[in-house]
Amino acid sequence: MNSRQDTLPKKDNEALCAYLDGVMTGEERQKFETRLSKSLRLQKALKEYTQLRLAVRSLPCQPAPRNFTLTLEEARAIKRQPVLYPAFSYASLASVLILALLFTSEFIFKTYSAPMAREVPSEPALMTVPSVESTAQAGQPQIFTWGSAYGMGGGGAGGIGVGAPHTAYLPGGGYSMDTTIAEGAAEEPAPPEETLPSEAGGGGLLETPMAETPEAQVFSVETSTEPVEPLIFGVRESEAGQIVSSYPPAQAKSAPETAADSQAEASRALVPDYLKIGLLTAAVVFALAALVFYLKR
Amino acid sequence: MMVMSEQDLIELAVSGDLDAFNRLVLQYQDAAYNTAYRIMSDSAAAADATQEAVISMYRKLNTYRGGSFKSWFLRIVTNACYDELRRLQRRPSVPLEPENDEGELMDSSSWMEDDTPEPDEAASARELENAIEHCLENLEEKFRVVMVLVDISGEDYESVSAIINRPMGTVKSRLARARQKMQDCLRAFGELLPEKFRLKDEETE
Repeated sequence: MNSRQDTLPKKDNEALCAYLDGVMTGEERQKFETRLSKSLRLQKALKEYTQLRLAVRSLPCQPAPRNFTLTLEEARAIKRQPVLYPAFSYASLASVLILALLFTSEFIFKTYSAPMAREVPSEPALMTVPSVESTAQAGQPQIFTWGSAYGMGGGGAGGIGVGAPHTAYLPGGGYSMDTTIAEGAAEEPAPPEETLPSEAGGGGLLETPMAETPEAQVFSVETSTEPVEPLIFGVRESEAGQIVSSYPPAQAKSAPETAADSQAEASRALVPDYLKIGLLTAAVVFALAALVFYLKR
Repeated sequence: MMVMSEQDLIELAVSGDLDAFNRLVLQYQDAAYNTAYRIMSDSAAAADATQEAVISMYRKLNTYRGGSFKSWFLRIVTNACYDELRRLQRRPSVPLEPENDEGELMDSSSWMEDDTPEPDEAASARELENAIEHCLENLEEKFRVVMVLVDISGEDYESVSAIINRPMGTVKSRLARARQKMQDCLRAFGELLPEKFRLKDEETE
């Protein structure tokens, strides 16, 4: 046995088969016959293939063991199934796709739009900033939020780390800056600054000295009676790592309020729940029906 | 009974005439079963595949767009064979083979062997037939299908290309490979076969 040696190159092998089966064009045939006449190897292979083809074709034809004709009942059953099986399959697929689309769009909506709305603090939250008096009375360190309640902070002009400059927005884009120093808080009052005339819409500054605030008074008392422990980033060294100040916890909502909130939350959903449940049920039912018809086939 | 052409039968069958359809089935069922048998190498599986093909053909009658009806039918038969082969691969069946006295399975070819004496010529032909069937059975599915369609069912390359849904080049290549593999396999039987049936190396280059 020398099959390895006798193995024809792929091209020759294909050409030989094509020649044998008569599927070559006139030109191809002529070229191949020229090669064939010169190559004993090709001639031998051609002889073997001819013999093989004859042998394979000589295999007896296996007659059908029975008739494969269809009865009327079978034909009716066959005609019915193709309509129902694909119909249920496609219906199920469509339901699943719609459902997936709804969930995706809702997810995108909730992820990118709702949190932004939630992050904006409500007006009452801003209003409940603890006063300096209350923190002072409780013996807690005082944390000053420079001007946060007013929307903008700033440093004291000329003061030695005291005095909260209050700013107030003015209509028309202008704003004013209060350079008033709390009484007794600064040894030297800051020299009066030049005041630019306010121009509507021009962004000019308007100096509006504010009246002495209670905060300022409290501060002055504190600083005058007891020495202040040095603060590192506004925190006493001994209280590092502790929560020194926080907004008061939100008040527990009553049941009707919670219900109203959840109702509002639900109303924000793009698609009502009953529609989602309906689609899911339809998808499952159609898929089961399609499976039944598929198994019956 | 009026003699009708194949085209008339097809038209009637497409319009819903079950008798016309059944007459077409009767006309081609042997070719269909034989093709299925050579692809599957199993009579029961071939019968199942042929029945499935007939059902599938009845369902798809309205998609028939002319051309050789036999080729179209064989295409459906081939697809049914592929499905059946896949099904058998998923759920392989255990053959009912007899056991010898010691409880060991006997080789199926020996227990199925016909012991009745045959004339020499017939016996030799039978041996060659067995050898070809054995080699065909051991060919890879993709090569076997092409060889069966071309050399047994007598389909041309173009039809086979349409049947297996592959380009003509693939058909040529697969057929060439199939023949080469068959040749190698039959050489192994060479010494066992009578001289007349040997595929021997007569000349060398």
